Amino acid sequence: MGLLTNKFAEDNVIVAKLEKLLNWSRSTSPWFFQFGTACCAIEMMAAAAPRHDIKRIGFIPRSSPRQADVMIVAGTVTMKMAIRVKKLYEQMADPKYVVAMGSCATSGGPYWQHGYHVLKGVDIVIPVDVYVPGCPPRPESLIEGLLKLEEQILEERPLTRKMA
Amino acid sequence: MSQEQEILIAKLVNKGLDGDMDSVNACEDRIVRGKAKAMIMKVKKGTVERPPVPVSPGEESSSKVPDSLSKDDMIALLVNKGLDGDMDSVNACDDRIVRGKAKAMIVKVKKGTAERPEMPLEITESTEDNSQNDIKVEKVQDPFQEIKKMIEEKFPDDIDEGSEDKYIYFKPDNWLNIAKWLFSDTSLLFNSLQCQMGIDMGEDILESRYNLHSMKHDHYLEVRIRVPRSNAKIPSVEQVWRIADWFERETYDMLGIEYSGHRDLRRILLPSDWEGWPLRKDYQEPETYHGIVVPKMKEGWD
Repeated sequence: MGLLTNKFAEDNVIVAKLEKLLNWSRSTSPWFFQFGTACCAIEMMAAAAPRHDIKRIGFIPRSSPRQADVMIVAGTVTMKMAIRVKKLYEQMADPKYVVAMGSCATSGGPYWQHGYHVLKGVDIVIPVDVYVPGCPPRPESLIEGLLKLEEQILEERPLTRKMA
Repeated sequence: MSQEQEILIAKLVNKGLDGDMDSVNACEDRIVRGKAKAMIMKVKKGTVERPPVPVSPGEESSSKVPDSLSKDDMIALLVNKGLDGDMDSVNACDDRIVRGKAKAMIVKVKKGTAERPEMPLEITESTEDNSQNDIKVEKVQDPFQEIKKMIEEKFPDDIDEGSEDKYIYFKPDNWLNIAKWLFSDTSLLFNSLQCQMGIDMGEDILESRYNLHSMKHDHYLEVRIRVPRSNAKIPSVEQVWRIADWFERETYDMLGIEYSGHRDLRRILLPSDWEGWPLRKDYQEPETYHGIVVPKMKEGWD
């Protein structure tokens, strides 16, 4: 707000597109659902910790799916967990986004051929918006992915009627 | 070249010239071995004189040590030493069984419930200065052989074929009784089950292995039990070693070995409605699970 500080005498008005305003507010505070399924979670924690601090770009960890906008699937998703991941995704309120973090969540990773118990990519059960490759990805990669997600949110047109 | 190596070379050359080439070849130091062989050739040709047989200090001292001591003598010796205040020698004994028995006896003698044993005759002269050496003599004894002998005496019908130096095969039927005995017998006292695992050996054989350890005597035993795939039933030892509870659940989860008598035999890692036993060699991966289709190959993979 630095640009506008102390520039107005009385009541003030800004003219903007409603959609852009909505997108701007949504893209700058995508709270993410805090859970990790495997070792990628360590890097996710590092990204949330003070050195990288993804709270700077609006990502605040929430412990309940009801309060979250983004689900970061951090790590291997087993068959047993896949059912629960799907249930948690369904509990999140719209609009909701998914970031598949690491090679396990994107494609099964090292378990892609012989892991009888591993889901070969979380996109089999839930729609994924951003894939972050790496095993595990460094916090920088995750932040890059999250910024990509913010760009994606900015380009959305939530109020425009979808043409068939 | 150090003095030690030179002595070793001289020794090996003498052995080789006397026809004992095996000891020369068995030498682990490459340089020493090569030099010794070269010298042997030279001596045979006549270009070098045969070196004198060296006398190493190590051999002199070891010749004072008695060749062998029976177990009872060893215990008697240690008890005497311990009662004379030299507990270090007792603790330095490598044989766990002997050490344990000696310590137990010391306590008894101190209480007055047992008499002090006589010093074994053959070593009374030389014990004073060589206490370290005569204790090391006992190290040759392998505790496993002792344990195996005890088991063979107690359960002669339950030992399965295939037992070797480091492990013992049992038939499954009487395993619970054997386990109780291994756990409680005072000279064995296997009070710790360090690991339990299952293996598919192929050819319709499943194997369950137990690594036992005695905290008291510090000796080890590996027990193996093999069962056919069609009738994979082994008595559970969950009530003998409590840790076996989860170990056996995992082996059941992965290999489908049924531990009869287990009070809570459920899958431990996989979901309870999973079909099949994944670590068996004939396992077929499921195509779907709760409506989730498992693709063998995803699009774009090669």
